[in-house]
Amino acid sequence: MTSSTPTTNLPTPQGTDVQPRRRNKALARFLANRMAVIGTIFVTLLILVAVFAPWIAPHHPNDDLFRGMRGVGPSLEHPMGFDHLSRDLLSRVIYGSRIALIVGITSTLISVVIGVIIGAIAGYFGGWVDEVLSLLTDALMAFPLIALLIVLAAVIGPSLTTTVIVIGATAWARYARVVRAEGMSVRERDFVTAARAIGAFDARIIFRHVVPNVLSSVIVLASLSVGSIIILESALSFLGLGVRPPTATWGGILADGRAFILRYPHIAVFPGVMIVLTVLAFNFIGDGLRDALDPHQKVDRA
Amino acid sequence: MSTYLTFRILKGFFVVVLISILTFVIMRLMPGDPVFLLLGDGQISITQEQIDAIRAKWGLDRPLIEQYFVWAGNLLRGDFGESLIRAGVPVRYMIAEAIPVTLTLNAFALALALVVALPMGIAAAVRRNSPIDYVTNVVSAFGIATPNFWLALMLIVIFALQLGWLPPFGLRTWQGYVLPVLVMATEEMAILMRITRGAILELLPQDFVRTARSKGMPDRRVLWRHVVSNALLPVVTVVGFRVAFILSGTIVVETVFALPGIGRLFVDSVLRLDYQVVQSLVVVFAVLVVVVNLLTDLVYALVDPRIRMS
Repeated sequence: MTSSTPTTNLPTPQGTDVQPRRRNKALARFLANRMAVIGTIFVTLLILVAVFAPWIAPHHPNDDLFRGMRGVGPSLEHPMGFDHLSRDLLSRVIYGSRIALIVGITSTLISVVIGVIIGAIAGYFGGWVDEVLSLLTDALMAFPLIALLIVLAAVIGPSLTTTVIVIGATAWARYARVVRAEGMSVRERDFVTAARAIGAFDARIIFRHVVPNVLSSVIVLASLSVGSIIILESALSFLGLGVRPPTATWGGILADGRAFILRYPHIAVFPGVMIVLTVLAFNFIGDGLRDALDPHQKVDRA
Repeated sequence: MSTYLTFRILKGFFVVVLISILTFVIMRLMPGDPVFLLLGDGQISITQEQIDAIRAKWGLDRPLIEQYFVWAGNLLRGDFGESLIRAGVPVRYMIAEAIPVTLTLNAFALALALVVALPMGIAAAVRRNSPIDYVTNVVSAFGIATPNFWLALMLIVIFALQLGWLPPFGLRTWQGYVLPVLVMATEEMAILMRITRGAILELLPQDFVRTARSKGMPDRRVLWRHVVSNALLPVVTVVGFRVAFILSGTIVVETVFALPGIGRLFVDSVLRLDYQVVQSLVVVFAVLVVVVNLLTDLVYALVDPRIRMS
């Protein structure tokens, strides 16, 4: 996925010198999309906040307990108020961004890798391999993901690692579908026959010719799925099957908020706002990438 | 058509079998010996013979493959076994008890979503870039980005806590349904709006629409006769294919509002390690999804002759 000019070795009109211009056009289109730019800025800021959380957060998320401030609402010094254990909610929400981003981004990467490999194998080899893998993909697509996650998390034992792996291992079906279709179409083309004839390995053909062709679709899908994965993670933590307390997570704070909703309703407000904003930002980036990359691709391929 | 149908049914069957095998394997990996789960904590001492007797009674002493076939065979006959936690209660009853709640919740939510999303989506597409289009886009962007459990909490704060109009949890009266239905409808509404708008936008510039217009057909009739009727098909299909997502929504929303439906039964059973209930429910989910997807495909094939041919 690190290849910078994906189509250079294809004997097509999209040669090497066209590449940078095309890329710049896509970038220009992306930058012209106001919402996509706002999303990018928000995500960048969030990443900075997550990385520098210990310096930015005014208090420790777990250890700083304020006597007599149990469940006290927002004030100037404590803009999000205190939770039911008299911890500073702003600090907890800041630390929570770490979990959201770690899970959102790593799980997405894991699922992309799995999906691309499975899709490429299914599409490129066809036959019974394709039948089996497609059945698996269909089964995953058809199944309510959260039910699967709940069961798996309970079986393995909830933790950050479990959450990342379990989500990554189950959210790959969309990529597999897209890559499979490309694998099938590439298999039929002349240059693949030629490559085979001169003795190229299947793996090489897959990584040289199948993967680069689907890269932009995969990037768009991936950027759009970060948001839904963040929601999944917070749902798991909310149900007590994600990252364990006392680690501050947005879903976990919401679970506290639910438990004390009738007494301290303010607890549940801010982590939710952060989830909505973060998911919106990632979705805007995804929409922007789709508009910038996809139509162009179709035109080029025609 | 009949080959297509057979193929689809076979495929659906395989998906269910695959999911049931996976579930079975996963549930056997659960921490803890089921025998001790059956006995519960606080039991004094039991002899090896007693353990063996329990194993034999539940068939736990047989090989895994045999256990699977016994279980699957029982499922096919509608025997879901007994709950491990609520001793002696057949899982079938627990599920049958919970289904009406979930069904009511989802039916009303879907109906509400359609009633709001279809007109909004159509209006947004017809008056593109107008205020109504703008509102539709904003509402659907937020609807998709808002986690249903947080929306649920906020609605509880506003309508139960601040205004005192509705109960925060439970189903003691019909008012208990209002907030959960609203929450579930919001998510579906957001997606359906987007799809309706997209479907209509795709149809508007097409030749047959222009032809109908040039023949002097009034705009309103062109819209209803030619555009909306054609746009409904993809919308219906999407509703069918979203069963899996709708089930996901039920699981979380029922838990937040403490509604005695399938979703809460599922979460509670997972947390209580009642794997007899969990594995039955997973298979029920799978069958449900496969059947609805199949029906959706059939409806599509019946309505759209182009698909029937291929």
